[in-house]
Amino acid sequence: MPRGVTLYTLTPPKFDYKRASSVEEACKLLATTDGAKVIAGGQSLLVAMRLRLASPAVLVDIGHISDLGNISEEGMGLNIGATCTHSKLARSKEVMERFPILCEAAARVGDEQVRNRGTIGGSISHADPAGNYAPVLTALNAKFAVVSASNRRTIAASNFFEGPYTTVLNGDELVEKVVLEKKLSSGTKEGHSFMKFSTMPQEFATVNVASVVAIKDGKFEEVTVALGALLPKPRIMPELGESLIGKATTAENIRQASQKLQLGSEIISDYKASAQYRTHIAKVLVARSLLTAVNRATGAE
Amino acid sequence: MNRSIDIKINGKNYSDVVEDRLLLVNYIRDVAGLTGTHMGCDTGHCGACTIVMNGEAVKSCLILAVQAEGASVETVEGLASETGLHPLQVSFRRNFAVQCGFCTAGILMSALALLRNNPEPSPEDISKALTGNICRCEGYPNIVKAIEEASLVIRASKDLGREPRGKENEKEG
Repeated sequence: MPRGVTLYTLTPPKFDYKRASSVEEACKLLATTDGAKVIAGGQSLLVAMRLRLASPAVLVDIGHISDLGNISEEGMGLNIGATCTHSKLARSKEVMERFPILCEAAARVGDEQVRNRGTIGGSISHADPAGNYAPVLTALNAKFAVVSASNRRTIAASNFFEGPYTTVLNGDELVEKVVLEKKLSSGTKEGHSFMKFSTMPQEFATVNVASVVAIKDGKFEEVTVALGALLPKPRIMPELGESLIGKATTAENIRQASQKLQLGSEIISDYKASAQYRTHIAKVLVARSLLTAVNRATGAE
Repeated sequence: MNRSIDIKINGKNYSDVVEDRLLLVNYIRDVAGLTGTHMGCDTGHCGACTIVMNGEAVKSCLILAVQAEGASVETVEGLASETGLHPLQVSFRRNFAVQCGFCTAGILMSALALLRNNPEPSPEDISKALTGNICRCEGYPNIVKAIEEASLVIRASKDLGREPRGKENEKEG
C-alpha cells in the first residue's frame, strides 16, 4: 500500500482481483480458480465482503467487458446483457415499450447511486429474497442465458431461484443475459404493474408484487401475480390467477380474490415486519397492483 | 495482490500501485489526498462518499479502486475553479443548506449529476435524486431549495451567455 495508507474503514478481506475482457475469459477464470466469485457493479457483494459475510479468494470483474450491458431487440422480445445497470434499464425506451414493468422495477432498486452501478445480472445472481427483479422476471416468464467454460444453458426464472441468496448457478457459471419474449394475442389488452412496499424508498422491499394481466371484452383472460420478499423465493400465485380468469375486471372482484390469498407457512418474519403484517401488506399490495395493471390495460391510467 | 491503476480525478491524472482490496474512497482520500469526499457509514447507506464517475453519481465506498481503472472521477474539490465557487456551492451557502457539513460533499456531487441530466428539476425530482444521501441534521428543505436556486442561476447564466460562476455570484443574497 503506498504512502502509509491507514485502513480505518471496513475494508474487504484480501482477495485476488482478475479483470476479464471477454465472457470467455471470465468463464475460463471461473473454471480454473478456486473460490472465485463474479463481481460486476459490486453494490451487494462489496457490502457483504466488508461485513465479512463473504470472503471470496478471487474476484473476477466482468464490469469492463464491452457490450455485456447492451439491450438488444430480438423479434418482439429483448435480450438484456448481464451488466446492464438499473439506471440504463429504467431509462431504456425499448424496455419501456415492451416490458414497462421491468423499468418500474429497475427504477425502484436502491437509490440513484446504487442504480448507476448495480446490474441486473448481479442482482439476480445475488438473489436477495427482497430483490425487485425476481418476481418481475418470474411473472414475465423470463429466461436466463447462463455460460461456463464447458457448457451453455438456458434457465427459466421460475427455476432459477432456490432460496435466500441461493440460485441453481454452479460456481463456474455466469449469467450472460436475460431473455424476454413477448407473445402477441389478438384482441387482448395487456397491463403490467410492479409495486414495492418498503420502510424507506431506497431500502429492500418488505413485500413486492409483479402483476401481468391480459384482458378481453372486459374480462380477465390471463392473470399472473408474483410475490417477492415474502417467501424465501419468488412465488407465482396460480390460485389467484385461476380465481380471476373469466371474471369482470372490477375492483370488487380483485379485492375479493386478493383477500383469499393463501401464502403458506414459510412467510418471512424479521425486524422489518412480522409474518402477519407481511401477509396483510401482501393482500393490499396485490389488490392495488392488479387494479393498476387493469387500469393501464384499459387505458384508464 | 497489488495492481497499478490510472485514474483521472478532477482533470488530473493519477497513477499508483494499490492493493486489490483498496476502496475507491480510500484511494481518493488517502492516496490522492483529496479528503473532501467523506466516509460515513461503511455499508453504502449514507451517500457521504458520493462522487461523479464517468458522468454518474456513485458511492465511492462501494467501488474498488481497481474497478475504477481508466475512469474519470469528479470530487467536491473539482467544483470551485480559479474564477470562483460553483453555483451549487454559492447557493448552498446562501440558503444555509449546510449544517454540520458532513454530508454536504456527497450531496453536492449528487446535485451536480442531477443538474447535468435534468437542468430544470422540480423539488420532487431533487428529493428523488437525493434518496441515497442522508443528512443527519435533517436539513433537507434548505438543501432542496439550494439546488433549485442553483439550477435557476445556471440556466439564467446560460441564457445570458455567461459562465455561471465568478465573484459576482458569491455576493450574499
